[in-house]
Amino acid sequence: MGWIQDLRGKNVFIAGSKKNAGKTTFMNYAARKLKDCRLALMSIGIDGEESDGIFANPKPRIMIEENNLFVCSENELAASGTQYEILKAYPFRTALGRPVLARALRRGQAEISGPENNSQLAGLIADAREHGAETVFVDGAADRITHSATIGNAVLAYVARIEPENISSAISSLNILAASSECGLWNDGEPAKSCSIRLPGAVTESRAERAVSEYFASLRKTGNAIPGMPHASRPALIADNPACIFLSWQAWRRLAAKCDIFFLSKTSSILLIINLYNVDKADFERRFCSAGKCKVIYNPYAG
Amino acid sequence: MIKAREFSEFETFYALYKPLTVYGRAEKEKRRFFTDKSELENELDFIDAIKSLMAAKAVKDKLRHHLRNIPLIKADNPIESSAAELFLVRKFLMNVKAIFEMLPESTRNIFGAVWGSSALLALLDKGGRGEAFFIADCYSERLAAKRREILAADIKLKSLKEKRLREISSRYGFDFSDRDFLIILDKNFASFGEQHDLYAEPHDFGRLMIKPVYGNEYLSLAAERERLRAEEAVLEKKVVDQLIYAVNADRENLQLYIEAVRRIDTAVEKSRIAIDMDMTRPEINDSLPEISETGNTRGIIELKNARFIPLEKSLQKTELKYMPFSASFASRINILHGSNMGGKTVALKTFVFFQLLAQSGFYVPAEYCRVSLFNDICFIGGDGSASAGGLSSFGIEMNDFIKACGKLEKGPTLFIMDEFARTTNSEEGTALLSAILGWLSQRSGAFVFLATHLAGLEAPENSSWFCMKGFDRAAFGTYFEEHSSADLEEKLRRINRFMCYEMLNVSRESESRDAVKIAGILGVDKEIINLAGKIIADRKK
Repeated sequence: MGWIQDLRGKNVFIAGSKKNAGKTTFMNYAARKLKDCRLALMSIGIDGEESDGIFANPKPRIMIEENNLFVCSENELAASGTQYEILKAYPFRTALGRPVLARALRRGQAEISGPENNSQLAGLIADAREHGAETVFVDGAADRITHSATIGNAVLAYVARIEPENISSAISSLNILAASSECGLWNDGEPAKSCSIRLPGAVTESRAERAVSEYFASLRKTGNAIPGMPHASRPALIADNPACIFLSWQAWRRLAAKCDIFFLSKTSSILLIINLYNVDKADFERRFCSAGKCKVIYNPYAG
Repeated sequence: MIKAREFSEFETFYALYKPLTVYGRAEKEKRRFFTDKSELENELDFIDAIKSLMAAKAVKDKLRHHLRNIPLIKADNPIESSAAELFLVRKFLMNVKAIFEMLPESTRNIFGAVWGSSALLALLDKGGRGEAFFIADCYSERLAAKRREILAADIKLKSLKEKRLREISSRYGFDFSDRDFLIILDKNFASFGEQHDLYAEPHDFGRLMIKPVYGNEYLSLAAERERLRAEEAVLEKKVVDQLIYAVNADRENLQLYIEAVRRIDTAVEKSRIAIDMDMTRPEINDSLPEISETGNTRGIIELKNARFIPLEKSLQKTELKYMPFSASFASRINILHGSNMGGKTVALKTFVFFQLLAQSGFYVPAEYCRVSLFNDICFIGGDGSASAGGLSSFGIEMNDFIKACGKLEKGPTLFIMDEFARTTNSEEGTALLSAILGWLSQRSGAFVFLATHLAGLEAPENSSWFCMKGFDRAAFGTYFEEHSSADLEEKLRRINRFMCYEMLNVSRESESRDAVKIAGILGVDKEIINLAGKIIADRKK
């Protein structure tokens, strides 16, 4: 359980392999394990409501312990089961209303929500810290891993629900996440150290192939892909962050065979929370190539 | 006006103006241009009133801290009933009160900063802890009683839960103390036989998710607690409604505070800029002075050691020295001519920059400055390569001119013309410009500042002529012989060193031919320079 204690003091971003992957269940679990630490709970999207708005599946409720902080809309605040004090009311509004940072004066259930963009999220996290939060949990929308890459002191907890029906696609995503954890960070401010291909925005198979082909075509024609730059047999491909990768595992491997992949930003610490449903752990491990620099936690709720 | 702001790089300066409250920022976005003297003097009085306070760093920092903390409240309509609104109103009042208390009475009077909400703030403070706000028990005895019931229920629930978890732990060895459920193997669960204190549901093939069953007493009490919480929410809503009623009863005061905060915030920021940039209060002419045929001794605009901030800032990054600018304009038609790179355009920009600063209610970076108030400032000209909507540069100029003429009906208008008609042939350009100047001289509301290097202009009798002093030929001659080769930056530095950016009032168009010499300094072949000199000499003959 040392990995749970490692979350102390961090901004923990929880993303999932799919809808109902178990993000909120994981957050509740981690929050209970860190009960001696003042937490702030917030969400990208809405969490803690009785059922999700898309599939009407029952969703886990969020219990806010006394003294912990939470972010929700002002309407949700009045309907929460806690007694609260308002620490900050934000000037922007989301689809759910105006977000409010509150402290629970009494234990109770609440729906948590949060902002809609990264700069607002950074502001909320800073406010939570200013008001004494030691560890911040951001329950994210499915597959939303962008936020953790752009905010400091972050841990990405990626919750994967592995079932026989989705095992190939889920493992493909995990493999890419693990491989990207081993990719370097590119310092955009410094001059290029070798020939590089900058690919801003989404890295799809067709965009990546075109960029790499153009690079090598230019190399064949001029001897140098970039005037004044030395020849490099393996160029650096620079993407924004791992969330911009929209490749299959096979396509990633083809790309990685031709160039070294770098990111402008990425989360330095990644936890892979693997919940296996009707899948044998040994089977899973045979298909999962390597965890890279990620830490893998299997079925944390097992008794 | 937009083109005048662009031409004079006023927006570069305006970006440095950063009010701290949402009200000040909204005021900034209005980009007010004062055309009424008393309103403008009021605005400048606000800066005066704050500037002396801002000299003390501790006061300045405290004032800025409270301004930064003022949240947005919308008091123009009744405030909605919510705890978040109460939090915002209380935070607003706390900071407004602190600001008002920092101001001497005379200053408070200038800003209309009259505090009258002590009772409301005291009421809201009952639910305050620092900046935080909560619906305190003291607002309602019934609410306090309900919360005591909830607390008792919570204690009992906790005790029942802990008892059941201890039983489960001793009976099955499962620890639910910090988790809601466990995943276990089917076969392990089956080994416990029939039991009633664990709930199990399939997790996947071979495993179950188990949860504690807390029993009927616990469930009944949990339902009761939920009912109590619903009643508490109703009582909380009542308290919020009562408090919001009190807030809305004081809405007139809130609106006055918003106005005062807006004025104080903009004055604080304008004062900060005035102090940081060593600015002085501009004098404002009562009305546009009578213009006699021969001009007027009292200037429409006077500048002494005026600094054009955008240029001064950019020169600070190089070794080039910035030369402050002094001038006095007393005629309606003012023609400025002189060398290429002699500073005509900068002089024009400086003048427009000052006019915009003053009419926007700022102090100005000059030893002395006096301006008249215009209804509008129209810049006529392009950058020579510009084209918009298919119009050539010449077309754009004509279009600007026609629009500016249309503004004359509304009041005194400044026409700023930089190298007007430069892109057409000099013969027609000179003729057109001469005709325009003649036409404008007959419109009493037209005030013209023209920079040109077109020769042979026929200007009206009542126009004033200025020239930039230009090159110090004698000093440069000696220097240039000794330093004939240099890079572009050094060449520009040389030009700057020997160029006198001084404006002279001259009787009429005067000789000023430095273009060939400057071309030589910038590196044009010596043979071409000599030939050009010979052609000029031949023409003179």
